[in-house]
Amino acid sequence: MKTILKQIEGNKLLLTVENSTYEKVAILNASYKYTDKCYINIESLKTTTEIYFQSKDENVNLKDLALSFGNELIDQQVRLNTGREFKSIREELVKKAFASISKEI
Amino acid sequence: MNYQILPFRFERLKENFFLSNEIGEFLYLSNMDFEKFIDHELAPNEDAFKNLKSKQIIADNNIDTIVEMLATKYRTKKHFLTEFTTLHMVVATLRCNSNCSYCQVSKKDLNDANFDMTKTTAKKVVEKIFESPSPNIKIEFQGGEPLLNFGIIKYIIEKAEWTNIFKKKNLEFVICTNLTLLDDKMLKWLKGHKVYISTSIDGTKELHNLNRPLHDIDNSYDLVTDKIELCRQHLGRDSVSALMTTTSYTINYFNEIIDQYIALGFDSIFLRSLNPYGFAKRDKHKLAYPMNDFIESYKRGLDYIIDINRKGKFFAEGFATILLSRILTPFSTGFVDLQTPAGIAIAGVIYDYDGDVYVSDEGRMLASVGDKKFKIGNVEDNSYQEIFNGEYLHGLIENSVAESLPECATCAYLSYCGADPVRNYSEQGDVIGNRTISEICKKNKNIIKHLLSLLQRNDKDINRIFWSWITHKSIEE
Repeated sequence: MKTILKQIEGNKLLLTVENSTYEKVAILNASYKYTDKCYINIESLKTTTEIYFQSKDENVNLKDLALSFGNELIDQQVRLNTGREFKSIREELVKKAFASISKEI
Repeated sequence: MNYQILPFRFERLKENFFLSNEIGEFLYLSNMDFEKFIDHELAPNEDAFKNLKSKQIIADNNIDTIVEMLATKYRTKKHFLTEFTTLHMVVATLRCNSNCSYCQVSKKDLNDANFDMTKTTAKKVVEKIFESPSPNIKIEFQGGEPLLNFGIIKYIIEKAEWTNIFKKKNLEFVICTNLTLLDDKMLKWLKGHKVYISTSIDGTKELHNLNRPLHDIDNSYDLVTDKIELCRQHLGRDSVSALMTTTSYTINYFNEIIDQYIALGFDSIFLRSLNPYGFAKRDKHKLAYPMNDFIESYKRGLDYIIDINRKGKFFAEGFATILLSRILTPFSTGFVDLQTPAGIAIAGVIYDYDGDVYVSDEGRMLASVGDKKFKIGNVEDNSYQEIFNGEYLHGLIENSVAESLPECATCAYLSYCGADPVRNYSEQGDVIGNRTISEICKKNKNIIKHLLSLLQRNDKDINRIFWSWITHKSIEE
């Protein structure tokens, strides 16, 4: 996996992530969480996605923010993976939990 | 070797591996045995093979029978799901005569009757409670100080008993009270209605008064301990239980607090950390402490309690008892905070003074500071189906199945733990939460690991003491 963090201009940073590792949903979910701290622009390319960060506030350390964004991205992707992998057991347990008050039972 | 590996989780420890399966069977393997195990190189005459087979982590024959046995134990462990809501908490009033430093419900002024539950609301609450399909119903009165609205408590108990003539459920009542307002007249009435009392004792006189002064006097301790005796005289020795809450004032005094519980005639204590809601969250700079400090104090407190038991006195620690039941038996414990899916609304629910329904006490604690994220309806405006079978609650429950949450899904201690979406939301602003920064995960995992390490010692005394807690029988029995 190749992830690149690149400073462009004074207050802009580019993070490039592999599409084979991160899904669009994970990238959007992670991005949303950072919209209060910076302006984010996302560009999907064939094998990678480019995420541009622009600071809203001069006091924000954009590099720290982008690194923390990387962790958030992992968190979001793991949620998607785990959710899919254990979907059947989750659905069974939830169904069981509400079985006694479900009208169709 | 030709053996089938059945589902298991594991954690690499400093010197060995910890393995567990879905039903909570566990064992430790040396690094070498673990490698051989996963490479299918264990021979049937090796101890590791025999241990893994006895824990149903591997099978070399009768695989279908073993899977069926595992399924039966799994159903037992998840039995709580078949009952639906058994614990129904009712906030009789938000008024309170206490002035607790850590008040988690943001109590209201003593004279403001606008925060009392009315008869109209109470009637609807009882109707909703009895729509629960559970054969076991526990109605627990909360506050504020619920005895400030004793009239509504009497109304609800009488209405519930009347309804139960036809519904025939196992009906129980508990009043969570600071006891200070309880008198002979009330106790005589309560005796006729099989009501249990739960109160709070935070330690010695000095520590209790520091945490829990009354609004008009600082010394609530003498009053509470006198009233405990009065309750016992009227309702019986086992009619009163007590809880403690740990603040920064009390965290270094667990031994003294334990001694005080014994002196007051209790046979157990629940060493409980501070929940970050209400005033406890607002004033955390004064009251809170790092979770690691609590974990270390808890371990020392547990050692102290074990020593007391070694000397022949039966005295249990509540949190350890619940966890040990989950570790050593296939039974579900009914402890709402350690269930998966979470017990929110489907095991326990709370009806606020105004008829609003929240998924848990912590959910209404958040509402008391303006965040109604966990409100699932109102008894006067919504039907039972709308409140308890709505899409919103389904979504919350779906997000609280630890078996499918990041980190929890692969955690070797999952079988003993649970999901707490309300706490995740309170700590991190997100019901799923991130385990690496979760305080509750840190606490649960460390205490579970500590109990497992005590069991691993294979100390006869400790094992007998732990079993005596689970069965609630003294060691001699």
